[in-house]
Amino acid sequence: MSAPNLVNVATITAKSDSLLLTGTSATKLLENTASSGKVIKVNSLVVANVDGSSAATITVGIYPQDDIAGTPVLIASTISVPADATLVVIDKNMGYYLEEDTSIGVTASAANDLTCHVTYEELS
Amino acid sequence: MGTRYLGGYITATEQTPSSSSATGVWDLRTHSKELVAETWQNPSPPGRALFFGGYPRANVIDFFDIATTGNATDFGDLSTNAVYTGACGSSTRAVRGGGSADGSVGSNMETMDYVTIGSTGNAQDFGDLTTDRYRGDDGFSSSTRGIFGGGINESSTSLNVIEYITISSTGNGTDFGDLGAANFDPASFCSSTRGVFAGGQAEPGPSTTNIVQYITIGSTGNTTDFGDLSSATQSFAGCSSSTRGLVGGGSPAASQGAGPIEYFTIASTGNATDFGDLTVARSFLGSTSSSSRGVWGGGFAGISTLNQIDFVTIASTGNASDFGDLTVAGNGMRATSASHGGLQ
Repeated sequence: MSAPNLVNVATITAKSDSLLLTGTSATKLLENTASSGKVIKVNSLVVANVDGSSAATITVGIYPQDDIAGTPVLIASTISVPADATLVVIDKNMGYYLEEDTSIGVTASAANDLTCHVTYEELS
Repeated sequence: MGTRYLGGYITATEQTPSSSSATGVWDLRTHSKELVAETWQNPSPPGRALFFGGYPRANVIDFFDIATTGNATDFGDLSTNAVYTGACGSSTRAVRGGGSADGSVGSNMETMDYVTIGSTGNAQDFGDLTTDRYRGDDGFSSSTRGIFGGGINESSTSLNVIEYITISSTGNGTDFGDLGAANFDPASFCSSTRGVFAGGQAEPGPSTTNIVQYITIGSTGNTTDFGDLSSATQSFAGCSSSTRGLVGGGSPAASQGAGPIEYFTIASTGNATDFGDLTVARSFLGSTSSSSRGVWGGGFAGISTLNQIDFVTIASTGNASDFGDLTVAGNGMRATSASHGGLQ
């Protein structure tokens, strides 16, 4: 099934996901599986540094397949998030459409320092 | 009423990011702007080493990545010229304590300043040591507590005083315990729990000593006897992994400048064992380490002031290899890093 025509969608479901990055390897934040029949409109992606003293970096990539398979195209590369700060990577002014069989992965420089929060709409 | 600040988001009070703090919600535009202005907190590069001051380096701070090889790069500046100072730090903050403004006893300082390791900015005021001192130990620390011991005060009196600071604060030094005897120009190194002072010129005498003593960093007690150096040595410098401490260079009583490196197992209280040699024999040098690699930089050899940086693999034994050069040759500098033995 292909992604829907936006002028004729039947369903729009609002969703949010959050994730604590417990390691320093790429971690799946959001995916649109192959043949889902959906397109995902990402409204916001914010990263919070919950460590009280040390900065940590975040890398956000768009993967060409679901489940963060393939080589990502980075939309944010090793961006420093200061201690106790929150960085807005995507907001409603620059929303991103995640098409079928693609995914968003995030990579932290330090374990257990960064949380990621994404709000999105599933359109089908 | 809320205030709209740089990031374009609403908060109760206007926020201004700095290289040490940027609490708030920020967008990528702000990140880019402040990054260029060097007012954005960055993670400490885990292998970053800092060399503070020295003669004639004055207020120079150099940095380099211990994991690589190559020449050092200029950091910011110390708030004052500092020779024979002490240095310690956490993974994010490095502190310079005491020293002499020009290398003479009359210019001793009790002042401290600090830098944010992940930045390349100038030093900022910390607090003061309990006493002015120079030619104390290298300085060492756990992740939270920095230690300075020994040295000479402005009255040319050798000190047995040890004091500590809380690195995350900017407060004054607090009395710890005492060295077994007044001492200046020792080397030092540490694990996260144990700090070791080696050699130096001990009072009464003065005479160069081979005595090694240790403290428990989390306590405030006096030193306890460790083992011995293989020979009496002063004006050398130490570094460590979490388990092995190394001392390199220095001067025996009879001559100026030597190149041996010796190692200790920090958890034991045994004697030193031969490791290898520095590439150039020297004294009054600086040293620090990552978890795996020890580095020594600068120093004094005969009539020459050096800029050479040497490195060794701590877990091995063998002679040091050339790393690169400091930006300015000098002696009497001290060093710390974001990943030294006290942080592992």
